[in-house]
Amino acid sequence: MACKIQLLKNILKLSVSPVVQNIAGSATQRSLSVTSRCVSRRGFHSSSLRQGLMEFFDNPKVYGEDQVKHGRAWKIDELRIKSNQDLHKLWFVLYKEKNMLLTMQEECRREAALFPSPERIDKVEESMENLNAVVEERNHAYRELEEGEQANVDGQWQHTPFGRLGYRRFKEYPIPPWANVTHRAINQLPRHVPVTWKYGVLHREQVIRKNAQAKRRLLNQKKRLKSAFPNAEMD
Amino acid sequence: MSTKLYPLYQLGNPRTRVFLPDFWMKLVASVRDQPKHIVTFHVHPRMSKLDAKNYLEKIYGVKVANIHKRIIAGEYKKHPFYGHVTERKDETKVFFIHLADEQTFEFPDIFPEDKKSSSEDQIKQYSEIQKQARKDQNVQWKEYRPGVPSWFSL
Repeated sequence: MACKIQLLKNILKLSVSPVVQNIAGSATQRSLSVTSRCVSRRGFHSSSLRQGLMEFFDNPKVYGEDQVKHGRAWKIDELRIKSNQDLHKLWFVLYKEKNMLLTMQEECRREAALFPSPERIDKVEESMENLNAVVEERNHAYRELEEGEQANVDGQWQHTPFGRLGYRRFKEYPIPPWANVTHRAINQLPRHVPVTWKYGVLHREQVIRKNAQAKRRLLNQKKRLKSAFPNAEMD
Repeated sequence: MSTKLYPLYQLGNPRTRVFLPDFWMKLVASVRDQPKHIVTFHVHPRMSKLDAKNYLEKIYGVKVANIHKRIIAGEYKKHPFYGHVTERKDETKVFFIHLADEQTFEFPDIFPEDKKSSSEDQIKQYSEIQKQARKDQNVQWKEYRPGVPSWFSL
């Protein structure tokens, strides 16, 4: 138990930033306790300001500067810890940021000026990709648990009407195609019937011939080179 | 909506909802003089008017009265000697958004004169070069003959 309590204390110490500790210390040095820490933590939360259309622009303090200070992108391991709700909120934060950066970039291009620290756009996009990957992972896991299938399977390997294998994407129909007689009569082609086997044979023949042609061409070229430069070494 | 494909909607099914939209919108300075309640946007090419309205009202909290649209065609680039088209740039979709409730919007001054940096001259030079280059691109290849004096041809 004692060990556990110590650990908890350590965690609490780590979680409070030095700046806030200083403020608390200056106000009441005697009562440096858990209560002051709780108050300080609440100060960290800041809900987004809705400034309307001005959210499409950067902070006015930054206008006309060469560089803008910024952090790194979100890593995928950091996002895996977050809940779905938090990820949803974060997506919109990143989203607004990206829109803002794009507008600033466009404006800079119009004025023929340098866009300060353009790597911000890449960082936002990278973190958005990571967030998407985490959401996809969760979707897959849920789908496999519930239905025993992977999510987002968009097609299937099938025999085409000419007897070859091809990847066919699933389509959506208001009436399922097996129940729709007219659709089947018009659209659904016969697949892999014996009549089409000869096409497969012809296709294979074509491939073999092309390969042989390429090989022959290379050999002839080598021969020609050797006749022109007899002393050269062959690679 | 978003750029991703969603399942077909049929009557009675639950509404398809987009949780992670990925359309972008750029707020752009207007080229011509416009009334103050109209704002121009460059948007993702697959975005519709209804999308834009929902987008602004739900994400940014800006009420929209009306939208009108324009698509600017991409520029063609022709070959200097043979004249065939070598390159075509993408089209841009432009939305003009009419703000509701007598809202007005003014485009902020992003390049204030008092805040310009010490390397102002360099940037000025660079910008002039860039502007010149853009002008030169627009001039047709036949007319564009750098280094040739004006009295050379008729």
